[in-house]
Amino acid sequence: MSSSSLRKCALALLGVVACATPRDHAVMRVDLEHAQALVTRGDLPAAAKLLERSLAPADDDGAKLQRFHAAVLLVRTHVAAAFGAPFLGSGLPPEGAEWRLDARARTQSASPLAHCVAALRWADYARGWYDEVQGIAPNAGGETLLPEALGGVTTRDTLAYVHLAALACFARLRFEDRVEEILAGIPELTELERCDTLLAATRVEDGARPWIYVGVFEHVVRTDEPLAFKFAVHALETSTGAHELGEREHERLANWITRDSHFVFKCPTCKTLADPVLFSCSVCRRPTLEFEPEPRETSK
Amino acid sequence: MPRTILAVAFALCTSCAAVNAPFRSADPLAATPATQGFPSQKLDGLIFAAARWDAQHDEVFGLDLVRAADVLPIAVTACLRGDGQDRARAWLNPERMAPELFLADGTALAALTADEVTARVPERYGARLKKLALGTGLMTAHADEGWLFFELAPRGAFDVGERTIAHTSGERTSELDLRASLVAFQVTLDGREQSVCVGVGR
Repeated sequence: MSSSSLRKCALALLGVVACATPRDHAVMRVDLEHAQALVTRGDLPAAAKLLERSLAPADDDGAKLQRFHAAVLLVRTHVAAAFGAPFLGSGLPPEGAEWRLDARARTQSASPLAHCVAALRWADYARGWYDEVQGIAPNAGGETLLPEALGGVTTRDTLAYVHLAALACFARLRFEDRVEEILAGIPELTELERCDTLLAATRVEDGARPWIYVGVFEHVVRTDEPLAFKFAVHALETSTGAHELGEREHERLANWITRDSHFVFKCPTCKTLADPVLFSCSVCRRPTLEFEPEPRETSK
Repeated sequence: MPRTILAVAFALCTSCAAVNAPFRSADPLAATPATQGFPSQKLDGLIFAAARWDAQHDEVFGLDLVRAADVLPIAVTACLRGDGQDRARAWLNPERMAPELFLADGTALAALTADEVTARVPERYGARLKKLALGTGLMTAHADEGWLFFELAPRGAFDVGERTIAHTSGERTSELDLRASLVAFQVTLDGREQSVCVGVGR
C-alpha cells in the first residue's frame, strides 16, 4: 500500500472515529447556539465548519433533534451564501487580470451554484431526519436541547423552511420539475399573502425570496395569469441590490409583463400600463401589485 | 350522537391546527417527496442536457482515468430540442463553455481539456480520448454524447467508487452520492450566455 493510500486510510479512520462519537447534549447545544450566532452575523464559512464538525451519530431523541437542527442550520448557512455572500470556490480558472498574477496571489472566485448544491444536500438530510424528530420537545427530559433562538420555532415550521430553501435553490438551478414537486406539497405558496406569511414565519433569507417568487410564477403562469403577474412583480420588487435575479429571469419576467402575457396590466386609477422597472404607477403612485388585468389586444 | 361529538372534536382540532401552523392542508410537508440528487436529464428552454458517470469508463477509454490521471470523466449530451430548434443559433464555445462539476458538499471540480488529460496518460490512449471528448461548436438537434473531464485535485483527496465519491478535507472524510453532483456549463444561445445545470446519472 502506498504512503498516500495509508495516509488516506488513516484520515478516513480519524474522520469515522470523530463522527462515531456521540456528543453530549449540552456541548451540542452550545455549538448550535454559536453556529446560529455566526450565521446571524454573516460569518458563514465559520458556521459551516463548526456545524459540519459538530454533526455526530444520534443515539437518543435529544441528539436526533439537535442533529436535525444542525442540518437545518447548514441549509441556512448555504442558502445565505448562495443568495448573498458565497464562499465556496468555483472550479473555473481566474479571469482577466487574474491570469497575470502569481498562482498564490490569485483569488478563486466564489460560486453561488456550489452553495445551492450543498444546501440541497443538507436539505435532503433534514427531510430524512424529520420523521424521527417530529414529536420531540426541545426540553425533553427536563434538559434544554436547543438554544433559545431555535427552541421557539416548531419542528414543523423548521421543515417548512427547509422546503422553501430547497425551492429557491431548485429555481436558481432551473430544475422546474423539482420546484413543481415542492409546490404540490405546499399549495398555500400560490396565494400571495399566505406565501409572504410563510416566508416571514420561517425567516427565509431575503436573497432567496425572489427565486421563490420566480418558482411560483412559473408554476401558476400557465393557469392563472393575473395571479402570475403578482408573483412576477413581487419577484422583481424583491430582486434588488445584492439579492438580484439572474439576467435571464429578470428579462423573462419583464418581457412577460410587457409582451408575452395574454393580458395587459393597468393602473385602476389612471390606466397607466405596468412598467416592470417601476413598482408603482408613474402617474398616481399606486402600487403595481394593485394593477388590474385587461385582455391584450392582439395586432391583426 | 357519537358522530356529532367526533365532528365537533375534528372541527376543533382543525381550527387549532390552522391557528398554530402556517399551513392549511393536513400535512403538506410530509407529502412532499424527498429529493435524492438532481435529474440527470433536463430540457432548459431549447437546450437539452444529460450527464452520467460510468464506473466502467475504462472499457471506453482503454484505461481508468481516475487512477491513471486523477480525472473524473463524465459523459454529457447537449443538443437542441423543441419548437424553434431549427432557427436557434446555439454554440458550445470552448472559450466560454466553462464546465464545472459540483460535488454534493459544494466542492467544485475544474474541467480539463482533452489535451490536458492526454498529457497525463500514455500516448497510445490520447487519440481515442480526444475523439471521445464532448464536441464543441454549433449545436444541433442531433444528440451526440461526449465526455467532459474534471480534475480530482488536490491529489489524494478523492476516492471514487461506483456510486459515491469520498472527499477528504482536513481530518474529515465525507462519503458523497455521485447522483447529488451537478454539471454546469454555458451555452451561447442567440449571442448570449446561458447557464445549463444537470445532475449526474449512471
